[in-house]
This record gives sequence, structure tokens and C-alpha cells, in this order.
Amino acid sequence: MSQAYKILVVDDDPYILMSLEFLMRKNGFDVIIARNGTETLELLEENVPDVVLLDIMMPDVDGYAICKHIKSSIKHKECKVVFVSAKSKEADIQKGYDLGAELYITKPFSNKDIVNKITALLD
Amino acid sequence: MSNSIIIICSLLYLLLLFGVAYYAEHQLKKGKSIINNAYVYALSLCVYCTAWTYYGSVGRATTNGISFLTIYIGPTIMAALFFPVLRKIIRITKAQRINSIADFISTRYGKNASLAAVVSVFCIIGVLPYIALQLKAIAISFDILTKNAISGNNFFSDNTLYFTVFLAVFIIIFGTRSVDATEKHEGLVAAVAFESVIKLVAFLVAGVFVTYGIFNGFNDIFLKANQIDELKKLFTLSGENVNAGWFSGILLSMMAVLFLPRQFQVGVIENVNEEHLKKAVWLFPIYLFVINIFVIPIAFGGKLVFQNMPIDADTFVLALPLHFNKPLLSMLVFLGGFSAATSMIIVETIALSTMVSNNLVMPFLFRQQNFKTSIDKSIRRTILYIRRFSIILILLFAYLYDQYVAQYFSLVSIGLISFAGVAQFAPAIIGGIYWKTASKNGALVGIIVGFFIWFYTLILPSIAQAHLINESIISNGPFNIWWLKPQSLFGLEGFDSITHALFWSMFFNCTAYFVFSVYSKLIPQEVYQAEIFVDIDKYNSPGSDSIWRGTAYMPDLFSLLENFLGKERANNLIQNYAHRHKIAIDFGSKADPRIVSFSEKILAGVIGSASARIMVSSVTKEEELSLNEVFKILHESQQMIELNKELRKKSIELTKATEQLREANLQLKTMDELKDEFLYTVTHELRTPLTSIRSLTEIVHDNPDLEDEEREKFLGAVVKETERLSHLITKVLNLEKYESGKQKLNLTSFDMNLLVKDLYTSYKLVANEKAINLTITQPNSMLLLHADKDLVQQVLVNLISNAMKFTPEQGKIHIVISDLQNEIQVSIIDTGKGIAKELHELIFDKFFQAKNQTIKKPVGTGLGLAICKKIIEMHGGKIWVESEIEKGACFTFTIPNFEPGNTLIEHNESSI
Amino acid sequence: MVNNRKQKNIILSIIMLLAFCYPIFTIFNKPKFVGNIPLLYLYVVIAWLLAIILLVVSSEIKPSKKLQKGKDE
Repeated sequence: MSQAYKILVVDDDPYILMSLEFLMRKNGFDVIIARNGTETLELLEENVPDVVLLDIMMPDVDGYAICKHIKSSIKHKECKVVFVSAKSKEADIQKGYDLGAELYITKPFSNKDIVNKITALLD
Repeated sequence: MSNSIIIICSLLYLLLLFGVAYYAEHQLKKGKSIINNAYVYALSLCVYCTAWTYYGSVGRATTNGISFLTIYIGPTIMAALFFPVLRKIIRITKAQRINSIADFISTRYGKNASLAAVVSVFCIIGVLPYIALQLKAIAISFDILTKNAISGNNFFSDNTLYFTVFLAVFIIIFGTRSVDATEKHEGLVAAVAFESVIKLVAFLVAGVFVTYGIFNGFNDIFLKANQIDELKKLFTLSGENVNAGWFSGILLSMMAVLFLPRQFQVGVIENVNEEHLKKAVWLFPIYLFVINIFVIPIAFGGKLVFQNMPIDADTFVLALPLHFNKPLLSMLVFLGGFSAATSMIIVETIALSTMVSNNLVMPFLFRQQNFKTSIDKSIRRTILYIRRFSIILILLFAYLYDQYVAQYFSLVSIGLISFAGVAQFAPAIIGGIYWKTASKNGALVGIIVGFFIWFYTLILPSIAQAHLINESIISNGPFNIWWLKPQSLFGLEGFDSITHALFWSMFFNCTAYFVFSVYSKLIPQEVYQAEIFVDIDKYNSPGSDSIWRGTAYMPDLFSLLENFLGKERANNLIQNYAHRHKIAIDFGSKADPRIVSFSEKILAGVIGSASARIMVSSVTKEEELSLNEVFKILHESQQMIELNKELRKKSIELTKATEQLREANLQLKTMDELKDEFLYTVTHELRTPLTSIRSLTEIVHDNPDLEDEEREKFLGAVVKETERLSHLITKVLNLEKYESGKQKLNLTSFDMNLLVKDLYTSYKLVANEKAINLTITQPNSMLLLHADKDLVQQVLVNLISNAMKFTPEQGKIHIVISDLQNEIQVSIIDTGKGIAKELHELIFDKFFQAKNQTIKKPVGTGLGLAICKKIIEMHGGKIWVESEIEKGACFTFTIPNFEPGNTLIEHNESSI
Repeated sequence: MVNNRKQKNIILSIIMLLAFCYPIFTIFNKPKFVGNIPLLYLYVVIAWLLAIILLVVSSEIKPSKKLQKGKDE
């Protein structure tokens, strides 16, 4: 890794956010975090992350909408979206992929697994 | 007005009639039946109102006041009996494929051919003059319109001939389409219904013109009439035995409205659906009422206008508009009368022609050995030609009667004489459908005797008056026998001729009918038909009616049907019947008795039941049935029908049960779906803490070199999330317990005031920390509540901690307890962010967001309020929220403070 | 219910017959006036209209239909 990948981690649950932040930092990512949809959109204005870990259910703007936003923005055309959600229904997953997400990981996840998948995605 | 204009208008009208009839048949081909309509049916019944009504009512009104109304009040009374009488006749007619009134009577009395012939002949004798009267009305009205006041010139008589020919063509085209006389005459009935509208409109327009155009309304006419003695006396009915005359008029018309051949044709034969009776019962009387409203004004108006002029009152309707120089109106009135006359001629001719061909010509032909053996496929054409020929013959005779005989008779009473004639069928028909003992001999003798008296008392005097026979027969009686004087038979005097004739003819008719019925021995066929007619509802099921025993061969039977119906139709009918009744058909061998019976019935529709009998027995070898056998068959078929009914009932029940099952299944499925949804939401809610617990513990586990501070942070989070998890699980279980009704209330009496106060005190500290101003308003006294204290506390805790969660720093929370006599009310008011109105009810659903597709996540488990609601409901109370976005929320609940010992409302509903 | 309707119809026809015939009829067969309308005419018109209304009611309006329906079929 010549240069650290920039990763945006979005989740409204503080503890999940905490663990994901730790995990990504530990694996050499340049981590920024957002606790809700609005914050995410603000951060996306200033930053161009390589990958976004996106929760779906959030009190203000939901993850699908954010994904749509990323995928339709030229600025973020290189950005990869990874949904990390407790929604495990086939339809919900399909919707995620339909919106252009590269990966859909259901909660609860194994730390090793999520790190491996994201690294593989970026290489 | 010139001849040619009137002729052109009349012809145009007839063409319009063609158009209507053609349109109706055309629609039928497209599968739409115009006459399958209660209103059209009711209008077709109004063929009752002929030219005799149209012109004659006014004439009668000028001499006898309102006595003409009996002709219309009678049918109104009869309408009330449509359900008991007419519907029964319709059902029998349909079940037995009857095609005329003569066929009806003969079928009832053992399919007797001579009875059918007698009835047919009497119908013709009774009704032919009536048809002639219509032709006469057309001629006279034509005459008046052209102002050829002197009648009898060749010109108009030729016109009558033209109209007659035109009508004959019309009737032949639309009346003899099918060889099966039970088939509906779609075009004819539509045309007749159309004509009913025309004559009503025309008469009403004339009435309005006279009443409001010439005079100033009803009052004006009555006022003026009251000044003239001749009219004044018409305000009441006077004369000798006026009540008897009035009553006999009503009675006569009650019978006529059912038994005149044309009424039987439109009311019974052409009836498509007996449900139409329901509307006809009142529409028909309304029509009669409306068409009579202006009769009296026109009659009086005519008398007032034409005081000394020699104008026949029968023509007032037409003469008045002409007198006041209204050519268009006159034309309309003429066409109205024309339509009244033509509709009557059309229907009456059809009815009579069926009788002539089926009951007179064909039985005669079928009895000829060499004709019977020569029957082949051309027979259908022959039958149609016989019908067409009958139509031409009937119209020809009516025309000749009009031209050469009518001049000798007064036409005024022809209508009533016809009525009295067909009334002779009443005993045989009414008795026939209610009285099983009635016999063929009774009917035959009754009808013949009745007709003889009718002829003797009504026709003979008019022949004598015409000087065709010696008049002394009226004044002195035949051979000078005084008690045989036709108009005062047996010395009965003081009645009008119709009443007199009706009384004696019915007296002898009924007596003969009863006596001969009681004293004659019934043949099995009669017994069987009597049973079927009287108990039509018991036997009204096709296929159960086989009274036939003997040997018949399918090829013979089939070729017979084929000849009369055509190969395709015969084949269809037989196959369908066999299929419906699960009879195996072998076209090469013996026929099933039921097939034989069915074939006879089909044939009856074409050639009448009596002829059908002859034809079927000619190709079969029939065995005589004993009375016992007949009864056995009847009994069996009755049982069969009962069994069928039972089966049908069972199958309906079964269908119902299936339906219920399906519904229950659907309900279960929805419940399952809800359950799935709930489970999904629960697992989903469980996943969030699980995720952080798993992830954080893995981190701690995989990173032994973590700094203490960080490790503590992670482990602390794990502990908190575990707590959250177990909390959630407890709540789910609790909710499940409440909902399934497993939770029993542990009822104690406690002071609600104290409970709230305690909670308030414990939350005060937390509130202070968050800089929230927590206050309380409560009464001083004790508020004793009989409830489950732990559960009530749980509700309070939930609501207060919710308020704390949503109220920002510096906010306020206010708790209010109040005693509302029967219940205690607690409100928790906060200044938090509030709740949108549309969510006020949803928030009490468990995981209410589940229904909104889990996009916006609530703070908390999403179960707290659902549990609160359940608990309050278990106590028989209510919980609700009042709130607006950004304006805080007020959660309120009430709990009824029942006295201890009172039972609480059981809350055992289990939903999910 | 059907039989009931039949009975009602028969009773109705008897009432109509009574109303239009001797002796009730003679009550109104008098040279009197209501306004300018002869009494007899007025009576016949009203009685006739009433009869028609009764016919409408008896054939179109079913008494408490739903409840009985199941039993009657």
C-alpha cells in the first residue's frame, strides 16, 4: 500500500461505529466517521473517500439515499460503497446492489471477514 | 289534410315499426335481448289498451260517466294477483313448453286435442270481431282526418286493405321466424312495447291540449259541465242495478287481462323472466291510470265544444284538435290510435295463428294416415306455411268482417263481448291450476255451455237487431217461450246485457265444470297433468317428468325430431338433455323413457301438446299406465326432486364451508406474515447490540496489546450492549406474555399518588443532572387504585424516561395526576421534539417503524410504548398522545379505579 | 317469505275489490263536489292511486330481507 486508502464509516450506533473505526484504523485505513446521514453528506462534500461503509437504517437520511448520492456524483465516481446493515432480507440486499453498491455485509459480522472483504475489494 | 300525406305518415310509422322490430332481432343476434327487461315486459302488457280504449273510452264516458274505468280498475286488482296466479301460469307454461292459451287448457286436461280445438275455435269467434273493430277504428280515424265524413266510399276501404296487407307482411316476417312457437318473438314484442309508448304519449298530448289548451284545467271543465244537465248526471253512476254492472265490469276485465289471447301471448308466452313480474305488477296499473286521466276531460270537453253538432263521441280525441285547426297534433293523435290498433292486431293475430295451425290444422293433418307417413324434412316448411296462411286467413276474415258484417252490428260493445267470451276460459284455467280433481270433461262441457250461453245472450240479440233473423226472438223468446228470451233468460231482468250474459254463462259454465269434474273418471294422463299443474313448484324440474312406458326406438324418435326441428337443433337438444340427466344414448337402440317424454315436450313447443302426443305415439309402442303406476311415478319424481333439493342445499353448505376455510386460511396467512414481520423486526433489533458485542469482543480478543483505557472502553461498551440486549429480550417476552394473555394481573390496592411521587423523587436527580426542570402536580389526598402496581410502575417509568430521553437540556417535564371520579388520569408533558400527528397511533404499535419499511429508526427498543399500551388496556384504561412537531408531547393514560372485588375486564385477546 | 308475499297480494286484491265495489262504492256515488271535482271521480282517483302505491310497496319492498333469506331458500 503506497498510500493509505481513505474510508468513511457511517453508523448511528456509537458502539458499532467505535469498533469499525478501530478496526479500519488498525488495518491502515485513513478513517473518517459519521454518526448519521446528514453528517455523512456534509463529509462527502469535503472528502473523497475510496470506500464508504454504510449503515442503512438511520434516523435522518437512510443509507440507500446516500449510496444513490455517491453513485450519481462525478466527484465520487471512483468511490466504492459497502453496505453494513442488520437488514438481512433478500430484497433489501438486492436493493443495495441495484443501487450500485460493491458489497453488502450483514450484521453481525466477523471482524476478520469484513477486513478481508474490503481489502480484496480495493486491490 | 290530404289522403296522401296521411297514408305516407302511416306508412312511415309502419316502417319505423319494422325498424324497431328489426333492431330488436338484430340485437338478439348479437346476444342482447331487448325484451329481457321488466320495463319492456310491462309495456308489452299494455297491448291491453287497444283502439277501443283510445277512442272508445271517451265515447263510453259521454254516455255512462266513469263506468268505462272498470276495464282498467279490474286489471289493477288483477295485478295484485300476478304473483299467485300469473306467475304460476308462467311457470307451468315454461315447464310444459306451452304455446297458446288453448294449448294451456288442453295440456292441463290430459293433452286433449278436442279441447284444444274447441278453445281455439271459441277464441277465434270471440276475438275476430275485436280485430275487425281495430281495422274499423283505423278506417274511421283515417276518414275523420281526411274529413270524408261520409264513410263507406271505396277509397278508404281500399286503404284499410292496404294496411291489413302491410300488417300481414309484418306479422309474417317477425312472427313466423321459428317453427318453435315457444320461442320469443323478439321483434314483435319490442314493436308492441314501442307502440305502447306512442299511444300513451299521443293520448296524453291530446288530453293536455283539451284540458289546458281549450279549457282552463280540470276545474274549468267540471264547472262548465256542471251547468249542462246531460253532463251533470254523469258525475255519478246511475241507472238500474248500477252496482252490479260496475262489479261485472271489474270482474270481466280481471279475467280478460289474463285470458285474452293477446294478453296470454305477451304476459305468459313472451315472458322471458318471471322476475319481470315484480315491476309489471305496478308499472302496468300506472300505465292504465295515466292513460285514463284525460278521458273524462276530453269527453266533457268534446260535449261542450260540439254541443249541437252531430259528431260521434268516439272520435272526440281526434275531432277536437282538428276542430281547433291543429294538423300536427291531429296527426299525432291519429298515429297514437293507429299504434293502439296495430299493436293489438299484431299480437292477437300471432296468438290466434298459433292456435289455428297447432290446434286445428295440424291435428287434422296428423290424423290423416297418408300425411303422417309422408312426414319428412319439409314438414318444418309446411308448418311455417300453415302459420303464415293462418295469419293471412285471420286478417282476411277480420277485414271481411269489418267490411261486410260489421255494418250490421253496433261496434260499441264488441270489446266487452270479447271479454265475456274469453271469460269462459277462466273456470277451466283457474280451476286447472288449483284443483286436481278438475277433469277434461268438466272443462270441455263448461266451456261449451258457457260459450253457448254467451252466444245466445250476447251475439244472438245483435244478429236479431241487425234484422238478420226475426227480432221477435228477442222480444218474445224462441217459439214464444218467455223464459228463453236471450236478454232476460229465465226471467232475470233489470241488468245490462253484459252483466246478464256474464252471470248466466258463468253460472252454467262453473256448474257444468264442477259437476262433470266431480263425476267423471280421470284417465292416468289427466291425473298426471293435474298433479304437475297444481303442484308445479314441486315438479318444476326438467327430467323428472317421465310418465311414459313402452317401447320406442331411438332412430324413429330422432328422425321425428329431426323433421320438426332440423338435425342440428334436434341433436343438440337431445344430447344436452341426456348429458344433464346422465342418460346414455345409443342412437341405434331403444330410447330411454325420459328421452321419449322430453321429445314429446319439445315437439309440443312446435305443434302443440295434443299434436305432439299424436306424433310421438305414432313412432312408439306405448303401454297403458294404470292410475297406481302414475301415482308411483309422481311419488318417485317428487322424492327425486326433494333429494335434489337436499343435495343442492348440502352443496351450498359445502361451498360456504370451503369459503370460510379459505378465509380462515387467509387470515392465518396474514397473521403469519405479521408474525414473520415481527420476528424479523425482533431479530433485526437484536442484531444491532449483537453486532457491537461480537465486534468489540473480537477486537479485545485479537488485540492483547490494547491499552488499558481502550480495553476498558470496549469492554464497557460490551457490558452496556449486553444489558441492552437482555433488556430487549425481556421486553419482547413481556409483550408476548401480555398479548397472549398469559400475564395475570397481580392486583393490589395502592396509593397512586404515592407511587408517582416516589418516581418523581428518584427521577428528580437525573433531571437535575441533565438540567431539565421536572415538576409535578398532584392532589393532596390519597388516590387508591386497585391494579397491578409493578406494571403500572413500569408504564410510568417508561413514559418518564422517554420524556427524559427526548427533552433537551433546559427543557421542562411536567407530571400531572388527577382524579376523574371513575378513573385516575396521569399525564407526562415534555418540551421535547414532539411527534408528527400521523404517528400518534403508530407509535403504540410494536416496532411501529416495521410497517414503514424500517428506514427511520426510533430511539429505544420500539417496544416500550407497545408494552405500556398493553398494560393499560389490561387494566381497562386508555393511553394516547397529544403532540405536534417541535412543540413537545403529552402522553396521557387513564386507569379505572374499580373497587376491590370488582372484576377487571379480562384481557385475553391473543393477537400475535 | 314468498308465501307471505302471496298472501299479502291476495289480501291486497280483496281490499281493492272491496274498495271499488258495492257497498263502499255507494258512499261516494253521490252528486257532491270537493272543490269543483265530483266526489265520485275524486274517490276513484285517490283509491286507484293508493292501490298502485300498495302494489309498489308489496312487490318492491321486502320486509327484513337479509335475516330471513337463509331460511327461505
